[in-house]
Amino acid sequence: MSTGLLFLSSLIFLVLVVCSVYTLSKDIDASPGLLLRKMLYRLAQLAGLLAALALAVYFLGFL
Amino acid sequence: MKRGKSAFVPMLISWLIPGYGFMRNGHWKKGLYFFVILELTFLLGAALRGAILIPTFAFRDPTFNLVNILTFITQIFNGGLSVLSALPELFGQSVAILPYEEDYVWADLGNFFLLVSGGMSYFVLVRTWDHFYAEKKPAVERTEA
Repeated sequence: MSTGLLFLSSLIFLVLVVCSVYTLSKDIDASPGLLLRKMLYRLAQLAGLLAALALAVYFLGFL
Repeated sequence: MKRGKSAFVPMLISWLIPGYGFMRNGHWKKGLYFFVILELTFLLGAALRGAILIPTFAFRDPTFNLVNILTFITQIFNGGLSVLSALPELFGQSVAILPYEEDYVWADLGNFFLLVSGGMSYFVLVRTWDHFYAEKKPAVERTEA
């Protein structure tokens, strides 16, 4: 497996693990629909944060 | 709900087996999901040759590294598999059950899988305590000034 593909698939898998475990353990009595919405919301938040970090690292490369 | 001293054994087993606390208290589907996903993450990391490496705790030692210590502390929250993974560090290569190759090209990525698994196991453990065993404080009534 190529390096980029392995890192990208690892990143996606680990982000899914973090979001699903965090949401399922925190909101214990929520309905499945609400759980899914919260999970997707946290997924978007984490993906945005990671994208911002990636951009920051990319531009730091020009310094 | 069981509180106080009686929580020690279930919390200890929850450390060894992520999700056990949820299964024991009636949320067996969620507990099973935590067990499968956290152990799978750890085993994927082990397949990439990630392993629990015991850091140097002596402050004056030249190999002392705070990041390694924090990584170790986080990783060991997935109790059962982290004990298995640390066996070669403690007793030598002959007792290695999980793959152990510190210089393997993907070992750092594997360690990151172990870190995520340990961190989320910690979160599940804390939530087990909060939901099922912690003393519930009575709501404080607001008084008008």
